[in-house]
Amino acid sequence: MEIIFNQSKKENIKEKTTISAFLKDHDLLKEGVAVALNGEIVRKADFEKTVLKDNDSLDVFNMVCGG
Amino acid sequence: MADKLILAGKEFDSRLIIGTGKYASGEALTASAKASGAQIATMAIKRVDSTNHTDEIVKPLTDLGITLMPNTSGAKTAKEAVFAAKLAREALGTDWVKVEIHPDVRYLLPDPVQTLKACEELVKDGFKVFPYIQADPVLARLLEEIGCSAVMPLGSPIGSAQGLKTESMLEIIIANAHVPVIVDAGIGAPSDCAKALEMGASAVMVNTAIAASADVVKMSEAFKYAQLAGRLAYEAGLAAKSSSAVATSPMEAFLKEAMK
Repeated sequence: MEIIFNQSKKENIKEKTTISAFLKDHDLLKEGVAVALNGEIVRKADFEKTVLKDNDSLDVFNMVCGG
Repeated sequence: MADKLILAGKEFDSRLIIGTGKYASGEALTASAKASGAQIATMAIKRVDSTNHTDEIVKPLTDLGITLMPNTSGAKTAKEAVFAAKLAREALGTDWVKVEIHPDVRYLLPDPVQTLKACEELVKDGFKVFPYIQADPVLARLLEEIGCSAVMPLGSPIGSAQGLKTESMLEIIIANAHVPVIVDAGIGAPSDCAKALEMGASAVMVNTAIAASADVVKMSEAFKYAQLAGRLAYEAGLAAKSSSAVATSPMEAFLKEAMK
């Protein structure tokens, strides 16, 4: 199964991979992170139960330095 | 002791807000934040970049008790700014947002139309909105009327260190605002910070003037004292200006009598 990660990178993932699991695999399950799935923001409370599907577009954001 | 700053119902001792950009490292940022006494810091939100490791910034600042004010920097339209604000709300669990929309890459001047549009939507969605704007008294009033928590007019272009070029417009905004006025952008020296607060601004935001300094800790301390000096002077009341001299000592009469 394949998803598009951050608009440009295609990634192969296992069936039934949740957003939580994906973030954990990429060392992104931490403070200051937000996620949009197919353009819609996903609430943190829903990371565990949101399962990724084939051709989903997943964008992961984090807080960075800025003025 | 100076009065407390109240923003969106929260009290602060410091009237210095810091940006977190341009520091050489996470350690430099944390040391600077500590030395400045700032209790509010801004930061941006971006797609993660796995090729470029960046230092963790959220926890080091929240460990210092700093309130985070995410900005929407990078947004070119109201729609993008609203999206960035909602992402930041999820990422940080805060409803504070600094609306920053500057599609013009040369001068980084804020787009007033997109800013007003974004602020209207975000206020309705329950955000505490802090819009970064040109020093435009009409726009400042409109943003106050739609429910923004403060207005953040610029002193001069971001990172330019030109100081309070918009001084006369800032005076008008400050005189007519019923929300806090936070002078943001272009502050080049601690004296600019003090000046803005002497004028009656509620707070000042500084990034480049500290981060680009040769000694960020020392410069942070300078700004810490400047914001205190400016506010105390404002509360004490500055002396009125006069076009002619007003003697402070009765020297002339004494000398004339002694020479008789």
